[in-house]
Amino acid sequence: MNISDKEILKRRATKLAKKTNVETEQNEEQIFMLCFELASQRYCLDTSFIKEVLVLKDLTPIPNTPDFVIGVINVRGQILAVYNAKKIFNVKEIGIKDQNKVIVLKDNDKDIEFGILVDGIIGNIKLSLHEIESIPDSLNETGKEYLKGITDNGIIVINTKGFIESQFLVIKQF
Amino acid sequence: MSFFKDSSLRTKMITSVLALFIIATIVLFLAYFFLHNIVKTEKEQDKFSTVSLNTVKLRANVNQTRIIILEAISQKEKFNKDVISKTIFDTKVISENSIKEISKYNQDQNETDLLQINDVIQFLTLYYENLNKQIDLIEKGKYDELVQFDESIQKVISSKLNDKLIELGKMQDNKLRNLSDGSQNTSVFALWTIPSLIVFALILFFFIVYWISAALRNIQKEVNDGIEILSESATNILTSATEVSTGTTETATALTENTTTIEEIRQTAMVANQKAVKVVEISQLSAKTALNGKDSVMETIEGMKKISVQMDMISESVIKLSEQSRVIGEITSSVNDLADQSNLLAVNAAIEAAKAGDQGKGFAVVAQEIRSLAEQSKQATTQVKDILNDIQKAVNQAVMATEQGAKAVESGSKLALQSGDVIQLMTDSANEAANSAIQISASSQQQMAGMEQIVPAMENIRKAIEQNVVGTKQTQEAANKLNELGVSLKNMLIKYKV
Repeated sequence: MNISDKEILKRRATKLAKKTNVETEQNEEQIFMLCFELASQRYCLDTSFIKEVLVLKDLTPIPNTPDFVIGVINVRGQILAVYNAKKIFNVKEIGIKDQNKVIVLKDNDKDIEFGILVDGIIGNIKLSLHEIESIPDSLNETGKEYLKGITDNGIIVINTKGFIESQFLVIKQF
Repeated sequence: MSFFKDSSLRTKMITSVLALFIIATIVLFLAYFFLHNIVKTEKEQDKFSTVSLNTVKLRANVNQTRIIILEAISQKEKFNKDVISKTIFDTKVISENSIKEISKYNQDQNETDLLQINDVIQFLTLYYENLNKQIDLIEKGKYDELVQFDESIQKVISSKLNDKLIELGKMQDNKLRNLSDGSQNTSVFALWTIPSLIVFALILFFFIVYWISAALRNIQKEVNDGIEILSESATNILTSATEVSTGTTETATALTENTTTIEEIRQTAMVANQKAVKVVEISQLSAKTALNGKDSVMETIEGMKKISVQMDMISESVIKLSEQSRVIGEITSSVNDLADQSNLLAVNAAIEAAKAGDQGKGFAVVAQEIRSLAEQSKQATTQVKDILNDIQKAVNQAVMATEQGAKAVESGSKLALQSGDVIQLMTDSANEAANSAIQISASSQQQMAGMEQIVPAMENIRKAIEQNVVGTKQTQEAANKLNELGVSLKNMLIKYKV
């Protein structure tokens, strides 16, 4: 191994190191978001409203419920309602994914707890507020009230608090 | 008649001449016979006529003398005695002459006639004796005696004599008449037969002449035709001879070419012989090789069987491999599940860390690490899955390949068996080829011998052709001569036009 090879390796190491430094270097307020996938589209939720992430297991369908309600699951002795996120966000079903994951959302103030079924979990990300662009007003579709904006990477940022507290999800039939 | 027609001209002519000759002799004989007959009848006629004439004369004399006597009797003295004696003398002479003439034919008379004639002559002599007596009486003037005598004797005798003479004359006349009738018949017969025979002979002669001339005409015609054919043939022979001479010259040139060709054929036969010997060697070698090939084929078949066993083993191994790869797939899927679960755990840990705030920062890093590990293990499982897929494909291909291999081995063993048969056939063929080559060698040797015999034969042919040339020249001359002969024959025929 001669000197030039060493130099090349060094240069590459510094290049790789810079990438991580960009993430750690932060001057403004950052929020933790959980990124998930829904029909090949990425969405993210505020981590502070998320209790945990589960794999969908032992689902019990409940009759006489709205479309978006899939059923209930038992999580360590606690019965939890599971909603179909695609129905809520009015996303078209494209194929079938058996890797369905459940994100358990919880609002401590209002004591609301329920799960939404998504196609896949991508991971935790940090977002600066300036990174979020607002959605154009011309779009007026269902669930727009829950959407906070969109990132440069094309991740749709959901207004998590609004989403959880919306009257839409309150099931009056109970 | 058919015999006559069929017989040769010579026999025809001879028979015709003979027939003519026979007819002529018959005619001659008949003429002679008729003449003889006529002469004979003439004689007879002469005889009978003489006899009858003389009887008439005698009767006349007798009657005259009788008349004179009777006159003398009636006149008596007045009667001239001289006349009596003279007349009686004359009549006597005449009677004697007549008797002489009658007696002249005495030899030719038959017995009855002779008796009659002699009787007449006796009576005549008796009459004349009595007459002399009467004359004596007359001279003596004894007329009474005379009358008496006459009345008693002479009258009777004279009447008897007269009767006898008449009888004789009548008889002779009858005979003469019969004879003349017969002679007339014969003469009529002769008059008819001879001319008819002559006419027949003439007709025959004309016929013969006609036949012969016809035959000659035929002969002439045939000869004429023959001459024409001869002249034509002569010209033909001439042309043929010229053609033959040109042909012989061509043959001579062809012969020289033939000789060279035969030499070439001889050399070819030699080469063929050598080649045949080589072929024998080669075919024997190939027969040996074919035997070796047969052994090889048997070995091949055994090898094929071994390969088949190996193939079975390979296929079993491949099936095992396939099952094991399936097991590996199950394991990787469970690993993938584990990775998923650990990923979820990492996410949950990160969420918890975020909730913890600044205190949970370190934990968040750990969670991030775990998550990345889970990701890596997931990637590894996908890689393993891909590899397993490849392996599965390869195994499938291997299974197919082993099946094909088994089939190939089967067909190969079949082919090997077939090739064994083919090699057997080849061995047989090689043996046959060897035999054939031996036969070819023998044949080519015979051919060579034949070729060497042909060379002197060719020389002989050449000599014969030379002789032929000479012969054709002679033939030409002969044909010319023949032509001339035909012309001369034609001229001759014209000259002797039949």
